[in-house]
Amino acid sequence: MKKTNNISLGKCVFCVEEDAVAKLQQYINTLEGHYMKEEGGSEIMNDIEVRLAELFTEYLSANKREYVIMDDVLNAIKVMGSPNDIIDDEIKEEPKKATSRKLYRDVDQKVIGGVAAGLAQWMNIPVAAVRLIFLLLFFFAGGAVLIYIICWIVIPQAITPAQKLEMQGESVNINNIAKKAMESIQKNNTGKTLGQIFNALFKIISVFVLIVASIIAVAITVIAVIQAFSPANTFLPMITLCESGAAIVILANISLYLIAVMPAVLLIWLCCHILFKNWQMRMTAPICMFIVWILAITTFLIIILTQHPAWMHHGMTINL
Amino acid sequence: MGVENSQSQMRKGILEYCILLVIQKKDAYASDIIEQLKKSKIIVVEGTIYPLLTRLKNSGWLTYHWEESLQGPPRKYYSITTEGREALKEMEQNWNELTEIVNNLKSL
Repeated sequence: MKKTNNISLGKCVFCVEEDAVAKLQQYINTLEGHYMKEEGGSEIMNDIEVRLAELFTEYLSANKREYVIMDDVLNAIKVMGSPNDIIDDEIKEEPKKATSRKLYRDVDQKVIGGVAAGLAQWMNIPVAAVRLIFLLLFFFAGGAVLIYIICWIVIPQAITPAQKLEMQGESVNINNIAKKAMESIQKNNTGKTLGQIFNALFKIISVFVLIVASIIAVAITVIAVIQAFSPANTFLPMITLCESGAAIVILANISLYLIAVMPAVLLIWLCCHILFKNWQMRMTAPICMFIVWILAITTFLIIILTQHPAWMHHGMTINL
Repeated sequence: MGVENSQSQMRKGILEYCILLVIQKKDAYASDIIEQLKKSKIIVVEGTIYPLLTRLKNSGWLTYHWEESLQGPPRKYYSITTEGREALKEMEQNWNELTEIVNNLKSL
C-alpha cells in the first residue's frame, strides 16, 4: 500500500503516489526557477504543465490505472527532457565565472541584522573579524552605532537562493540554485556545532563589553552627580556660560551628560539583548536612544553657539 | 566549447525557422509540431519547444486559439501571422544564402 496525493496539473486532477509527487514537484520547481525570470514565464510553465497532464492521461489510459506512479513521472520527464537538456544551452551562453560579489545582509548568520556577516561575505573575510571591528568601533566611538543602523537600513537582505549566490559571488544558474536550496534545508540538521562555538565566543565578548560599558556609564554618571552638587554648579568645568540663566546652564550640562552616556547605554542594551534575549530584538529602544542622543548634541551645540563667550564677540577665549 | 556545444548552438539557431516552416503549412498543436521536428531529428526532447513557441508568439509571429480535446485539457492551436510569414521569408533568404556560402566553401 502506498499513500497518494491529489494534485492539479494543467487544469486536470491526478491521483499521484507520494514519491512521484516529490519527483514531479522537484522537476517543475527547477524549470520554474529558470523560466519565471523571463517574460512570459508563467505561460511557458503553463504549457509545460498542460503537456505533462496530457502525457499522464495517456499513460493512465494505456495502463488502465487510476493513479500516477513514479514510472509515469520518469517517462514524462524523459519525453519533456531533463532540466539540463532543456536549459543547458542557455546556461552555457553566460559563462559568468568570477561573478563579482554583491552586498547583501546575510540573515542566515545574523546576530543583529546580518550587516557584519554580509560585509564579511562581500569582502570575503571571516565574519568574526568584521564583528570585532564593529565592536571596537562601538566601544571607542558611539558613532559606529549610526554606521551600523544606516547599513542595516540601506543594505538589502539576501532572501532568495539567487541573492544568496550573488552575495557569495557564485554564478546564478540552475545547478547552484538547487544546491543552495538543498543547503538551506539541510542546515537545520548540520553545521550547528560551529554556530554554537561562535555563539559562545560572541557571548563572552558581549559580557566583556557589557562590563566595560557599565563601568563607563556609572563613572560618567557619578562624575556628573558630583559636579552637579559642587559649588560651581556646573557638571564639567569647561562649560561656563556668560549672561545666561541657571536653567540654560543646567540644560547644557544635561545635554553634555546624555551625549557622553548614551553610547555606553546603547552598548549595555545591545549586550543585554545578545546575552538574555536569544538574539531577537526590537528596534524601538535603540532608535529612541539614538534620537535622544542626536537631540542632546543639537541642544548642546545650539546653547554653546548662542551662549558661549567665545562665540559672542566678547573677544574672550574659551576657559579650558 | 566542444563539438557538442557548437552543434547545439547551430541547431538552436535554426529551430525557430523550423517551427515556422512546420506551422506555415497548417495550424498545429504543440505536439504535432514536436512530432514533426522529432521525426526530422532536429530536437530530442519536447521541453525545448515550449519556451520557443511562447517567444515566437510574444514577438507577434505566431498566434494561437484554444480547441477542445477529447481527452485531457483544451489544446493550444498555433497559426502563423502575416508578420510571421514575412519573417519566414527573410529567414528563407538568409538560409539560402548561408547554404550557398557553405557549399561554396566546401567545394573550394
